[in-house]
Amino acid sequence: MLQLNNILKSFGNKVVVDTVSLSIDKGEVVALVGESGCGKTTLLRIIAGLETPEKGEISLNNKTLNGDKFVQPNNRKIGFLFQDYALFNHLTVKENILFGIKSLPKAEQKNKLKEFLMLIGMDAFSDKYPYELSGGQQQRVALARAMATSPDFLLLDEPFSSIDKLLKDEVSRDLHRIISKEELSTIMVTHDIQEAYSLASRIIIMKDGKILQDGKATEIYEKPVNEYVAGMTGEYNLIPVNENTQKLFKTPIKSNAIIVRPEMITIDENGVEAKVNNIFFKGSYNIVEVSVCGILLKLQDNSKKISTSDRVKVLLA
Amino acid sequence: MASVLFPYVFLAAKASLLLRSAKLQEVAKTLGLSDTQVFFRVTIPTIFPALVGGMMLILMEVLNNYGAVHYFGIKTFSTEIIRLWNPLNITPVLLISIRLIIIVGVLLIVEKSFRRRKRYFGSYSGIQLPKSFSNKRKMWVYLACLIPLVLGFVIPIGQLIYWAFKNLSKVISSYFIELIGNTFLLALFGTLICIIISLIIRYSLALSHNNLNRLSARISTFGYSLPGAVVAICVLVPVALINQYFSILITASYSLLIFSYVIRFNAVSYSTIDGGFKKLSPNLIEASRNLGFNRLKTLINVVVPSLKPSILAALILVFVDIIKELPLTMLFSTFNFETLAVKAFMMMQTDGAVYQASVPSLMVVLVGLFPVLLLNKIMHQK
Repeated sequence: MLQLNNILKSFGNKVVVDTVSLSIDKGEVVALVGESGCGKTTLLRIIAGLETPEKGEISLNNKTLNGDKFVQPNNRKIGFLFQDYALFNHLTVKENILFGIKSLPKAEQKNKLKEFLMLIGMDAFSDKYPYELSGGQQQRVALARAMATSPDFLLLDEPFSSIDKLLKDEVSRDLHRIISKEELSTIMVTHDIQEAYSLASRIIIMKDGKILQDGKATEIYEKPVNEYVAGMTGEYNLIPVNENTQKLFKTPIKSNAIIVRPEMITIDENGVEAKVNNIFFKGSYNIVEVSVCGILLKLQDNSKKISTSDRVKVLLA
Repeated sequence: MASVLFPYVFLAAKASLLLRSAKLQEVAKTLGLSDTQVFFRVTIPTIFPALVGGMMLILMEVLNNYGAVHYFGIKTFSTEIIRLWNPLNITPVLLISIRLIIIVGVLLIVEKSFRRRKRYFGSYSGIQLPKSFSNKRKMWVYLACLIPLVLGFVIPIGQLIYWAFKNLSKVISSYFIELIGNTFLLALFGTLICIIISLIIRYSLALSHNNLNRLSARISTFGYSLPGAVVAICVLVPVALINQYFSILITASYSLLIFSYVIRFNAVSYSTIDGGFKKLSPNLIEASRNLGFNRLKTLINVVVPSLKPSILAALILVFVDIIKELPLTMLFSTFNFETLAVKAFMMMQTDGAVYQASVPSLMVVLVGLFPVLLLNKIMHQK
């Protein structure tokens, strides 16, 4: 189990990680999501021991990592997949994977190498050099290199940033398969919520060095704590609650405003009449912008039959 | 002299052209400028800082130069320092050295202020394909490009080889062969020490970018801006003083000469290795630490193999620099030290031996060429 307690880190005058606390259980796959500069990568580097926090405590399996004696990154048993993979270009695929396990007996090294080459599906490439591989292949080698050392924890820094958009799904499936097979506790850092959804079951949204929300992926999507989280995790409507808009809801709402996802708004005979302003094509569905009760609402149209200047009746589910 | 020092400006301009102005030139063309206009309004201004930087290097090189200017009877700081050097009366030499240091300081500040402007230019990737000329124009361009090569390399080397063959038997002796060995060993030790020091300092900087590490990088490269004669004075004066006042006899040994070489040329290996480091992903070091390697193991297993090309380049550059270094070694030769370069110069001094001096001169070129060819071969085998 990894535990962070009030971690504080600043560069110059700028506080980058602002008293962050969290704990991650064995086998959990967590995504740290936020815009660039929100402190997510710094937090990851602090966990790996590549940065030292000014305040706070990190412990892994109840062992303090930054107590009186700072545990160096080479003694932490935390694997790190770097954004640019950081493969050693002077070594082959095989030698890269063996790099961290040179101290093991030869026979064991051989077994591990075979196991991980199979796992990443690259046994045919063991004598190639990193620059001869595609981005996705390089990533898998870097992953195998990090995992061969049998780390207690795996950290992934923007694992999809240099992967072609077309290949992202495939790479993400591979990554998911490999991580879940090893039941490895993992934290990934990303600015793209879709990448987070594809790999992680728990999502932590960060802004300005602080954690805004921490929960299951579905929970964060359905019940974002504020407008920022709603915006980070998908399309949304912020509906002010007043005499006009109250009739959109089946039950009276007590708060001043409410965040509603487009797919929560349905076309319903019993609904309120609305005028269609605009249609945004999204591929398998359309986002339809309507004006109703003096506000603009976005709703999801899976039938794709609604067209501009139609009149529809809408209701919040 | 212009023909020999030409590469300093050429290389600076070329590097800057490759890095910067390809895209800019294309932009200028789409904005409707002719080729000539592009050259004067875009190309020249963008590489101007690099040109000035190259010019400053030449000025320093001239300040440092001793052999040629002395032969032609021109008085420069370096020639005066060597003429006036006397271990028992150091005051006149110290005065000249201080004046020289001030001039170098001014040049450095000028160079630095131009380098600061460089940053405004940002970096643009993409290399423009060379424009093709008509055949007739092509010939003139080739001829123009040949001028510095012929004046600076082909003619002098040809002359040297001719003289050397005529005088070979008069000069070759067991002493001469010992001299070659001496020069080679001196250069080898100096080079290795430079590279080790540069690697350690630059690696510390990569591990932790703190003020102490930055300062040591600055100090270790400062010697390059000083003329060789001044470096020698800085090392020899304390030795002379100790001998004078404490009447303890510390003789200037080979180790002191190598020490001076390291002060003078560490910047060469440092900047080459620094260039290599800049091309490495900083994550490489961290990845290695993360895989269980401590700092020293990371240096040996990751940094050194990854930097191999830069280290070999540094090896060649420092080695050649030491082999042909004259004013610094000249001052040490008052203690009866000789290298090929010093021998060549001494022979030129003696009437009638000017032609014979071609033999050690050619040896300087050959001994310097030897590692270049050797390393070239090693690199191609890989």
